[in-house]
Amino acid sequence: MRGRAYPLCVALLLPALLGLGGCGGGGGGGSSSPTQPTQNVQAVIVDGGPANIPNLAFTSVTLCAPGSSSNCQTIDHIQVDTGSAGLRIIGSVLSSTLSLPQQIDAGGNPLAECAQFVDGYTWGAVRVADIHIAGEQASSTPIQVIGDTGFPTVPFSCSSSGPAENTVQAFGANGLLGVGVFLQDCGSACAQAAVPGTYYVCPATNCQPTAVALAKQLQNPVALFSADNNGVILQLPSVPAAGAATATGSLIFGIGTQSDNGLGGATVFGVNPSTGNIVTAFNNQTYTNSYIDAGSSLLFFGTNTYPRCTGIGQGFYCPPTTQNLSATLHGTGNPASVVSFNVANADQVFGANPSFNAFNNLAAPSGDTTTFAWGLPFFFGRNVYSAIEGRSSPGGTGPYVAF
Amino acid sequence: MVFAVAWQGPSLPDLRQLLGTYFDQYAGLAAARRARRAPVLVELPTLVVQSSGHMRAFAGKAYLPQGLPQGVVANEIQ
Repeated sequence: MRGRAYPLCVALLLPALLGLGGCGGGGGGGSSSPTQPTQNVQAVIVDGGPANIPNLAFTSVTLCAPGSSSNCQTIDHIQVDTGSAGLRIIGSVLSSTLSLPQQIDAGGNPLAECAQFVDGYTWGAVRVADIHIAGEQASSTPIQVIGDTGFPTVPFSCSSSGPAENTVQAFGANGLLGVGVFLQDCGSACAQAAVPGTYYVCPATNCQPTAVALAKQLQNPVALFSADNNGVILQLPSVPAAGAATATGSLIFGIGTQSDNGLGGATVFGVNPSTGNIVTAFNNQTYTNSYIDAGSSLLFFGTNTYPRCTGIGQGFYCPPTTQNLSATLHGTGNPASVVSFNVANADQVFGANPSFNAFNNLAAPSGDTTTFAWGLPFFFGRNVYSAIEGRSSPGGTGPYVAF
Repeated sequence: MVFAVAWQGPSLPDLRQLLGTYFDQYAGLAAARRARRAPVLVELPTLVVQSSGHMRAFAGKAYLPQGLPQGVVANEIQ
Protein backbone atom coordinates (compact mmCIF):
# COMPACT_ATOMS: atom_id res chain seq x y z
CA MET A 1 0.00 0.00 0.00
CA ARG A 2 1.59 3.18 -1.15
CA GLY A 3 -1.07 5.59 0.00
CA ARG A 4 0.29 6.39 3.41
CA ALA A 5 -0.58 9.13 5.78
CA TYR A 6 1.77 10.03 8.60
CA PRO A 7 0.41 11.66 11.72
CA LEU A 8 3.59 13.73 11.89
CA CYS A 9 4.76 17.20 11.14
CA VAL A 10 7.73 16.29 8.97
CA ALA A 11 6.81 18.81 6.29
CA LEU A 12 7.11 21.58 8.83
CA LEU A 13 10.66 20.92 9.85
CA LEU A 14 11.97 23.46 7.40
CA PRO A 15 9.73 26.32 8.50
CA ALA A 16 10.57 25.40 12.06
CA LEU A 17 14.25 25.76 11.27
CA LEU A 18 13.54 29.12 9.70
CA GLY A 19 12.04 30.33 12.94
CA LEU A 20 8.51 30.39 11.62
CA GLY A 21 7.04 28.41 14.45
CA GLY A 22 6.94 24.79 15.47
CA CYS A 23 4.81 21.94 14.34
CA GLY A 24 1.70 23.44 12.85
CA GLY A 25 3.11 26.91 12.74
CA GLY A 26 0.72 28.21 15.37
CA GLY A 27 -0.64 30.68 12.84
CA GLY A 28 2.73 32.17 12.03
CA GLY A 29 3.51 30.20 8.86
CA GLY A 30 2.64 33.00 6.51
CA SER A 31 4.37 35.89 8.24
CA SER A 32 7.86 36.42 6.95
CA SER A 33 10.48 38.04 9.09
CA PRO A 34 12.45 40.92 7.58
CA THR A 35 15.51 38.77 7.03
CA GLN A 36 14.02 35.37 6.19
CA PRO A 37 11.48 35.13 3.38
CA THR A 38 8.69 32.60 3.77
CA GLN A 39 9.67 29.20 2.48
CA ASN A 40 7.49 29.04 -0.63
CA VAL A 41 8.71 25.88 -2.39
CA GLN A 42 7.03 22.51 -1.97
CA ALA A 43 8.43 19.32 -3.49
CA VAL A 44 6.42 17.54 -6.17
CA ILE A 45 6.90 13.98 -7.42
CA VAL A 46 5.49 12.07 -10.38
CA ASP A 47 5.72 8.44 -9.29
CA GLY A 48 2.49 6.70 -10.17
CA GLY A 49 1.06 7.14 -6.72
CA PRO A 50 -1.24 4.76 -4.85
CA ALA A 51 -3.10 3.50 -7.94
CA ASN A 52 -0.17 3.39 -10.38
CA ILE A 53 -1.55 6.01 -12.73
CA PRO A 54 1.12 7.63 -14.91
CA ASN A 55 1.59 11.39 -15.04
CA LEU A 56 -0.05 12.49 -11.82
CA ALA A 57 2.02 15.10 -9.93
CA PHE A 58 1.88 14.62 -6.16
CA THR A 59 2.82 16.74 -3.18
CA SER A 60 2.20 16.57 0.56
CA VAL A 61 0.05 18.80 2.71
CA THR A 62 -0.25 19.23 6.47
CA LEU A 63 -3.71 19.65 7.95
CA CYS A 64 -4.37 20.93 11.44
CA ALA A 65 -7.54 21.51 13.38
CA PRO A 66 -8.20 25.25 13.12
CA GLY A 67 -5.88 27.14 15.46
CA SER A 68 -4.11 24.03 16.66
CA SER A 69 -0.38 23.42 16.42
CA SER A 70 -0.55 19.86 17.71
CA ASN A 71 -3.67 18.27 16.25
CA CYS A 72 -2.09 17.91 12.82
CA GLN A 73 -1.43 15.34 10.11
CA THR A 74 0.81 15.39 7.07
CA ILE A 75 -0.58 13.53 4.08
CA ASP A 76 1.47 12.55 1.07
CA HIS A 77 0.41 11.78 -2.49
CA ILE A 78 -1.96 14.69 -2.81
CA GLN A 79 -2.32 15.38 -6.53
CA VAL A 80 -1.50 18.91 -7.70
CA ASP A 81 -4.30 20.26 -9.91
CA THR A 82 -4.21 23.60 -11.71
CA GLY A 83 -7.65 22.90 -13.19
CA SER A 84 -9.64 23.19 -9.97
CA ALA A 85 -9.70 25.05 -6.66
CA GLY A 86 -9.64 23.69 -3.14
CA LEU A 87 -8.18 20.87 -1.11
CA ARG A 88 -9.87 17.47 -1.10
CA ILE A 89 -8.76 14.55 1.04
CA ILE A 90 -9.93 10.94 0.92
CA GLY A 91 -11.43 10.48 4.38
CA SER A 92 -9.91 7.05 4.93
CA VAL A 93 -6.36 8.47 5.08
CA LEU A 94 -7.23 10.88 7.87
CA SER A 95 -6.22 9.93 11.37
CA SER A 96 -9.12 9.27 13.71
CA THR A 97 -7.54 11.72 16.14
CA LEU A 98 -7.56 14.63 13.70
CA SER A 99 -10.86 16.30 14.41
CA LEU A 100 -11.80 18.83 11.77
CA PRO A 101 -14.98 20.81 12.38
CA GLN A 102 -17.94 20.42 10.06
CA GLN A 103 -18.66 23.39 7.78
CA ILE A 104 -22.17 24.74 8.33
CA ASP A 105 -24.43 27.01 6.32
CA ALA A 106 -26.00 30.26 7.53
CA GLY A 107 -28.77 28.24 9.18
CA GLY A 108 -26.31 26.09 11.11
CA ASN A 109 -26.88 22.97 9.02
CA PRO A 110 -23.95 20.84 7.82
CA LEU A 111 -22.69 21.20 4.26
CA ALA A 112 -21.48 18.43 1.98
CA GLU A 113 -20.17 18.57 -1.53
CA CYS A 114 -20.34 16.65 -4.75
CA ALA A 115 -17.28 17.49 -6.81
CA GLN A 116 -17.65 16.78 -10.49
CA PHE A 117 -14.59 15.78 -12.41
CA VAL A 118 -14.98 15.01 -16.06
CA ASP A 119 -14.47 11.30 -15.47
CA GLY A 120 -16.19 10.85 -12.13
CA TYR A 121 -17.41 12.45 -8.93
CA THR A 122 -16.34 12.67 -5.31
CA TRP A 123 -18.82 13.00 -2.44
CA GLY A 124 -18.18 14.02 1.14
CA ALA A 125 -18.48 16.49 3.97
CA VAL A 126 -17.13 20.02 3.83
CA ARG A 127 -14.91 20.48 6.87
CA VAL A 128 -12.63 23.27 8.05
CA ALA A 129 -8.87 22.97 8.52
CA ASP A 130 -5.68 24.98 8.70
CA ILE A 131 -3.59 24.02 5.69
CA HIS A 132 0.21 24.16 5.87
CA ILE A 133 2.30 23.76 2.72
CA ALA A 134 6.00 24.60 2.71
CA GLY A 135 6.15 27.67 4.98
CA GLU A 136 2.72 28.91 3.92
CA GLN A 137 -0.53 28.66 5.83
CA ALA A 138 -4.20 28.95 4.87
CA SER A 139 -6.21 29.23 8.07
CA SER A 140 -9.73 27.92 8.67
CA THR A 141 -10.10 26.75 5.09
CA PRO A 142 -13.11 24.76 3.85
CA ILE A 143 -11.97 21.40 2.44
CA GLN A 144 -13.81 18.36 1.12
CA VAL A 145 -13.41 15.14 3.08
CA ILE A 146 -14.25 12.56 0.43
CA GLY A 147 -16.17 9.52 1.56
CA ASP A 148 -16.68 11.05 5.00
CA THR A 149 -18.65 8.54 7.00
CA GLY A 150 -20.97 11.22 8.35
CA PHE A 151 -22.93 11.37 5.08
CA PRO A 152 -22.90 7.85 3.69
CA THR A 153 -25.76 8.24 1.25
CA VAL A 154 -24.73 9.84 -2.03
CA PRO A 155 -27.58 11.94 -3.46
CA PHE A 156 -28.86 10.61 -6.76
CA SER A 157 -28.20 13.96 -8.46
CA CYS A 158 -24.53 13.56 -7.48
CA SER A 159 -23.98 9.97 -8.52
CA SER A 160 -25.63 10.66 -11.87
CA SER A 161 -22.63 12.46 -13.36
CA GLY A 162 -20.38 9.41 -13.71
CA PRO A 163 -18.47 6.79 -11.75
CA ALA A 164 -17.65 7.26 -8.05
CA GLU A 165 -14.07 8.23 -7.14
CA ASN A 166 -14.45 8.12 -3.38
CA THR A 167 -11.58 5.80 -2.50
CA VAL A 168 -7.82 6.20 -2.83
CA GLN A 169 -7.74 3.57 -5.58
CA ALA A 170 -10.61 5.03 -7.56
CA PHE A 171 -9.35 8.59 -7.15
CA GLY A 172 -5.72 7.64 -7.83
CA ALA A 173 -4.46 9.83 -5.00
CA ASN A 174 -4.88 10.50 -1.28
CA GLY A 175 -6.38 13.85 -2.19
CA LEU A 176 -6.28 16.77 -4.59
CA LEU A 177 -4.78 20.23 -4.15
CA GLY A 178 -6.62 22.61 -6.47
CA VAL A 179 -4.41 25.64 -7.07
CA GLY A 180 -5.79 26.88 -10.38
CA VAL A 181 -6.80 30.37 -11.49
CA PHE A 182 -10.09 30.56 -9.58
CA LEU A 183 -10.67 31.58 -5.96
CA GLN A 184 -13.39 28.98 -5.30
CA ASP A 185 -14.18 25.67 -6.91
CA CYS A 186 -17.68 26.59 -8.06
CA GLY A 187 -17.89 30.35 -7.50
CA SER A 188 -20.81 32.66 -8.10
CA ALA A 189 -22.98 30.06 -9.86
CA CYS A 190 -23.22 28.11 -6.60
CA ALA A 191 -23.63 31.25 -4.49
CA GLN A 192 -26.65 32.41 -6.49
CA ALA A 193 -28.57 29.16 -6.81
CA ALA A 194 -28.70 25.54 -5.69
CA VAL A 195 -26.90 23.62 -8.44
CA PRO A 196 -27.47 19.85 -8.36
CA GLY A 197 -24.17 18.00 -8.41
CA THR A 198 -22.30 20.66 -6.40
CA TYR A 199 -23.12 21.73 -2.83
CA TYR A 200 -25.67 20.08 -0.53
CA VAL A 201 -27.12 20.88 2.85
CA CYS A 202 -27.71 17.92 5.13
CA PRO A 203 -29.99 18.86 8.03
CA ALA A 204 -30.71 15.17 8.58
CA THR A 205 -29.76 12.07 6.64
CA ASN A 206 -31.30 13.49 3.48
CA CYS A 207 -29.03 15.95 1.64
CA GLN A 208 -30.48 18.53 -0.74
CA PRO A 209 -28.77 20.85 -3.26
CA THR A 210 -28.21 24.29 -1.79
CA ALA A 211 -26.69 27.64 -2.66
CA VAL A 212 -23.51 28.32 -0.68
CA ALA A 213 -21.91 31.72 -0.04
CA LEU A 214 -18.53 32.18 -1.72
CA ALA A 215 -16.63 32.21 1.57
CA LYS A 216 -18.11 28.87 2.62
CA GLN A 217 -17.19 27.11 -0.63
CA LEU A 218 -13.91 25.29 -1.12
CA GLN A 219 -11.17 27.89 -1.48
CA ASN A 220 -7.99 27.93 -3.48
CA PRO A 221 -5.69 27.75 -0.44
CA VAL A 222 -3.01 29.87 -2.12
CA ALA A 223 -5.37 32.83 -2.18
CA LEU A 224 -5.62 32.60 1.63
CA PHE A 225 -1.88 32.74 2.28
CA SER A 226 -0.80 35.99 3.94
CA ALA A 227 1.81 36.46 1.20
CA ASP A 228 2.70 34.65 -2.03
CA ASN A 229 -1.04 34.58 -2.63
CA ASN A 230 -1.42 35.60 -6.27
CA GLY A 231 -0.69 32.27 -7.95
CA VAL A 232 1.66 29.34 -8.32
CA ILE A 233 4.40 28.01 -10.54
CA LEU A 234 4.60 24.31 -11.27
CA GLN A 235 8.14 23.43 -12.22
CA LEU A 236 8.81 19.96 -13.58
CA PRO A 237 12.05 18.71 -15.15
CA SER A 238 12.50 17.50 -18.70
CA VAL A 239 12.08 13.77 -19.16
CA PRO A 240 13.53 11.61 -21.95
CA ALA A 241 11.41 10.43 -24.86
CA ALA A 242 11.25 7.00 -23.26
CA GLY A 243 9.85 8.53 -20.10
CA ALA A 244 11.20 8.21 -16.58
CA ALA A 245 10.47 6.06 -13.55
CA THR A 246 9.88 9.19 -11.52
CA ALA A 247 10.28 12.93 -11.90
CA THR A 248 10.68 15.42 -9.09
CA GLY A 249 9.90 19.12 -9.28
CA SER A 250 8.54 22.03 -7.30
CA LEU A 251 5.31 23.81 -6.59
CA ILE A 252 6.30 27.42 -5.95
CA PHE A 253 3.87 29.82 -4.30
CA GLY A 254 3.51 33.41 -5.45
CA ILE A 255 4.36 35.10 -8.74
CA GLY A 256 6.89 37.90 -8.52
CA THR A 257 6.67 38.04 -4.75
CA GLN A 258 10.10 36.63 -3.96
CA SER A 259 13.46 36.17 -5.64
CA ASP A 260 12.55 32.61 -6.66
CA ASN A 261 9.22 33.17 -8.40
CA GLY A 262 9.70 35.90 -10.99
CA LEU A 263 7.86 35.77 -14.29
CA GLY A 264 11.13 35.83 -16.22
CA GLY A 265 10.58 35.56 -19.95
CA ALA A 266 7.30 33.67 -19.69
CA THR A 267 4.52 34.61 -22.11
CA VAL A 268 1.22 35.53 -20.49
CA PHE A 269 -2.07 34.08 -21.78
CA GLY A 270 -5.22 35.59 -20.40
CA VAL A 271 -7.82 32.86 -19.87
CA ASN A 272 -11.58 33.12 -20.21
CA PRO A 273 -12.65 34.56 -16.83
CA SER A 274 -15.68 32.25 -16.66
CA THR A 275 -14.17 28.98 -17.84
CA GLY A 276 -10.39 29.31 -17.52
CA ASN A 277 -10.09 28.22 -21.15
CA ILE A 278 -7.83 29.38 -23.96
CA VAL A 279 -7.87 28.54 -27.68
CA THR A 280 -5.56 26.12 -29.48
CA ALA A 281 -5.09 26.00 -33.23
CA PHE A 282 -3.74 22.67 -34.43
CA ASN A 283 -3.82 20.76 -37.67
CA ASN A 284 -6.15 23.24 -39.36
CA GLN A 285 -8.66 22.99 -36.53
CA THR A 286 -9.53 25.50 -33.83
CA TYR A 287 -10.06 23.96 -30.40
CA THR A 288 -12.10 26.56 -28.56
CA ASN A 289 -12.33 24.55 -25.31
CA SER A 290 -8.63 24.37 -24.64
CA TYR A 291 -6.94 24.43 -21.24
CA ILE A 292 -3.57 24.03 -19.57
CA ASP A 293 -4.15 21.72 -16.62
CA ALA A 294 -1.65 19.80 -14.51
CA GLY A 295 -4.51 17.70 -13.18
CA SER A 296 -5.18 16.10 -16.56
CA SER A 297 -2.67 13.32 -16.94
CA LEU A 298 -2.20 13.42 -20.72
CA LEU A 299 -2.58 15.58 -23.79
CA PHE A 300 -6.16 15.18 -24.96
CA PHE A 301 -7.39 16.29 -28.35
CA GLY A 302 -9.64 14.95 -31.05
CA THR A 303 -8.27 14.00 -34.43
CA ASN A 304 -8.71 11.18 -36.87
CA THR A 305 -5.06 11.40 -37.92
CA TYR A 306 -3.59 8.82 -35.55
CA PRO A 307 -4.67 5.27 -34.89
CA ARG A 308 -5.77 4.21 -31.43
CA CYS A 309 -3.62 1.84 -29.41
CA THR A 310 -4.71 -1.76 -29.26
CA GLY A 311 -2.31 -3.08 -26.59
CA ILE A 312 -1.14 -1.89 -23.19
CA GLY A 313 -1.77 1.71 -24.26
CA GLN A 314 -5.41 1.08 -25.05
CA GLY A 315 -7.30 4.36 -25.08
CA PHE A 316 -4.20 6.34 -26.09
CA TYR A 317 -2.98 7.41 -29.52
CA CYS A 318 -0.56 5.07 -31.25
CA PRO A 319 1.03 6.69 -34.31
CA PRO A 320 3.45 4.29 -36.05
CA THR A 321 6.35 6.60 -35.20
CA THR A 322 6.66 9.53 -32.81
CA GLN A 323 5.06 12.63 -34.30
CA ASN A 324 6.84 15.97 -33.89
CA LEU A 325 4.01 18.49 -33.86
CA SER A 326 3.27 22.11 -33.15
CA ALA A 327 0.17 24.04 -32.17
CA THR A 328 -0.63 27.71 -31.65
CA LEU A 329 -2.08 28.86 -28.34
CA HIS A 330 -4.19 32.01 -28.09
CA GLY A 331 -5.10 33.73 -24.85
CA THR A 332 -7.67 36.50 -24.50
CA GLY A 333 -6.30 39.50 -26.36
CA ASN A 334 -2.76 38.29 -26.24
CA PRO A 335 -0.25 37.36 -28.89
CA ALA A 336 -0.24 33.76 -29.98
CA SER A 337 2.53 31.38 -29.10
CA VAL A 338 3.66 28.27 -30.92
CA VAL A 339 4.15 25.17 -28.79
CA SER A 340 6.05 22.10 -29.97
CA PHE A 341 5.04 18.71 -28.66
CA ASN A 342 5.43 15.05 -29.45
CA VAL A 343 2.98 12.20 -29.63
CA ALA A 344 4.58 8.79 -29.23
CA ASN A 345 3.16 5.32 -29.66
CA ALA A 346 1.79 4.53 -26.21
CA ASP A 347 1.83 0.77 -26.77
CA GLN A 348 5.57 0.95 -27.47
CA VAL A 349 6.36 3.47 -24.71
CA PHE A 350 4.50 1.56 -21.99
CA GLY A 351 5.73 -1.76 -23.31
CA ALA A 352 9.40 -0.75 -23.24
CA ASN A 353 9.32 0.43 -19.63
CA PRO A 354 6.21 -0.80 -17.84
CA SER A 355 7.34 0.66 -14.52
CA PHE A 356 7.80 4.24 -15.79
CA ASN A 357 5.46 6.94 -14.55
CA ALA A 358 6.50 10.26 -16.14
CA PHE A 359 5.94 10.88 -19.85
CA ASN A 360 6.04 14.03 -21.96
CA ASN A 361 4.71 12.54 -25.18
CA LEU A 362 1.52 10.61 -24.51
CA ALA A 363 -1.81 11.73 -25.89
CA ALA A 364 -5.32 10.39 -26.07
CA PRO A 365 -8.47 11.28 -27.98
CA SER A 366 -10.81 13.73 -26.29
CA GLY A 367 -13.50 12.59 -28.64
CA ASP A 368 -14.55 15.96 -29.94
CA THR A 369 -12.98 18.60 -32.10
CA THR A 370 -13.39 21.51 -29.68
CA THR A 371 -11.30 20.26 -26.74
CA PHE A 372 -7.51 20.38 -26.50
CA ALA A 373 -6.35 19.65 -22.96
CA TRP A 374 -2.70 20.43 -22.28
CA GLY A 375 -2.19 18.02 -19.42
CA LEU A 376 0.93 17.04 -17.52
CA PRO A 377 3.08 16.15 -20.59
CA PHE A 378 3.06 19.87 -21.39
CA PHE A 379 4.49 20.73 -17.95
CA PHE A 380 7.71 18.71 -18.20
CA GLY A 381 10.68 20.98 -18.88
CA ARG A 382 8.66 24.13 -18.25
CA ASN A 383 7.76 26.61 -15.54
CA VAL A 384 4.00 26.95 -15.87
CA TYR A 385 2.36 29.86 -14.02
CA SER A 386 -1.27 29.95 -12.87
CA ALA A 387 -2.32 33.44 -11.79
CA ILE A 388 -5.39 33.76 -9.56
CA GLU A 389 -8.39 35.81 -10.66
CA GLY A 390 -8.42 39.41 -9.41
CA ARG A 391 -4.90 39.23 -8.02
CA SER A 392 -2.13 41.36 -9.49
CA SER A 393 1.23 39.94 -10.42
CA PRO A 394 3.98 40.87 -12.88
CA GLY A 395 1.95 39.46 -15.79
CA GLY A 396 -1.06 41.64 -14.99
CA THR A 397 -4.27 40.83 -13.15
CA GLY A 398 -5.38 37.21 -13.12
CA PRO A 399 -6.80 34.95 -14.31
CA TYR A 400 -3.97 34.04 -16.63
CA VAL A 401 -1.56 31.24 -17.34
CA ALA A 402 2.03 31.83 -18.43
CA PHE A 403 4.96 29.72 -19.56
CA MET B 1 -36.61 8.96 -31.52
CA VAL B 2 -33.67 10.53 -29.70
CA PHE B 3 -30.37 9.58 -31.33
CA ALA B 4 -28.03 12.17 -29.85
CA VAL B 5 -27.65 14.58 -26.92
CA ALA B 6 -25.05 17.29 -26.36
CA TRP B 7 -24.18 19.46 -23.37
CA GLN B 8 -22.02 22.44 -22.47
CA GLY B 9 -21.91 24.30 -19.16
CA PRO B 10 -20.30 24.89 -15.78
CA SER B 11 -21.42 21.53 -14.35
CA LEU B 12 -22.11 18.10 -15.81
CA PRO B 13 -25.65 17.14 -16.77
CA ASP B 14 -27.56 14.21 -15.31
CA LEU B 15 -25.85 11.59 -17.43
CA ARG B 16 -27.85 8.79 -15.85
CA GLN B 17 -30.98 10.37 -17.25
CA LEU B 18 -29.41 11.28 -20.60
CA LEU B 19 -27.81 7.88 -21.18
CA GLY B 20 -30.61 5.84 -19.67
CA THR B 21 -29.83 2.15 -19.68
CA TYR B 22 -26.35 2.86 -21.07
CA PHE B 23 -25.22 4.81 -17.97
CA ASP B 24 -23.80 1.91 -15.97
CA GLN B 25 -21.83 0.69 -18.98
CA TYR B 26 -20.47 4.20 -19.52
CA ALA B 27 -19.49 4.60 -15.86
CA GLY B 28 -17.75 1.23 -15.79
CA LEU B 29 -15.66 1.99 -18.87
CA ALA B 30 -14.83 5.53 -17.69
CA ALA B 31 -13.55 4.19 -14.37
CA ALA B 32 -11.41 1.45 -15.89
CA ARG B 33 -8.91 3.71 -17.67
CA ARG B 34 -5.25 4.31 -16.86
CA ALA B 35 -5.84 8.03 -16.50
CA ARG B 36 -7.56 10.38 -14.07
CA ARG B 37 -9.17 13.83 -14.25
CA ALA B 38 -9.20 13.21 -17.96
CA PRO B 39 -11.68 13.49 -20.83
CA VAL B 40 -13.69 10.34 -21.47
CA LEU B 41 -14.25 8.76 -24.85
CA VAL B 42 -16.35 5.62 -24.86
CA GLU B 43 -16.83 4.08 -28.29
CA LEU B 44 -19.05 1.05 -28.57
CA PRO B 45 -20.94 -0.24 -31.59
CA THR B 46 -24.17 0.82 -29.93
CA LEU B 47 -23.06 3.94 -28.06
CA VAL B 48 -20.51 6.77 -28.28
CA VAL B 49 -19.97 9.16 -25.34
CA GLN B 50 -17.54 12.06 -25.46
CA SER B 51 -17.12 14.03 -22.24
CA SER B 52 -14.43 16.63 -21.70
CA GLY B 53 -13.59 19.77 -19.75
CA HIS B 54 -12.96 20.64 -16.13
CA MET B 55 -14.75 22.35 -13.24
CA ARG B 56 -16.72 25.36 -14.55
CA ALA B 57 -16.43 24.27 -18.20
CA PHE B 58 -17.76 20.89 -19.27
CA ALA B 59 -18.78 19.84 -22.75
CA GLY B 60 -19.78 16.59 -24.34
CA LYS B 61 -22.15 14.56 -26.40
CA ALA B 62 -23.54 11.08 -26.68
CA TYR B 63 -25.08 9.36 -29.65
CA LEU B 64 -26.25 6.04 -30.95
CA PRO B 65 -24.14 5.42 -34.08
CA GLN B 66 -26.72 3.06 -35.50
CA GLY B 67 -29.46 5.59 -34.90
CA LEU B 68 -27.98 8.53 -36.79
CA PRO B 69 -30.25 9.52 -39.68
CA GLN B 70 -28.72 9.04 -43.08
CA GLY B 71 -26.51 12.01 -43.96
CA VAL B 72 -25.88 13.10 -40.35
CA VAL B 73 -22.25 12.83 -39.19
CA ALA B 74 -21.26 12.86 -35.54
CA ASN B 75 -19.40 16.17 -35.72
CA GLU B 76 -22.66 17.93 -36.57
CA ILE B 77 -24.09 17.09 -33.14
CA GLN B 78 -23.78 20.13 -30.93
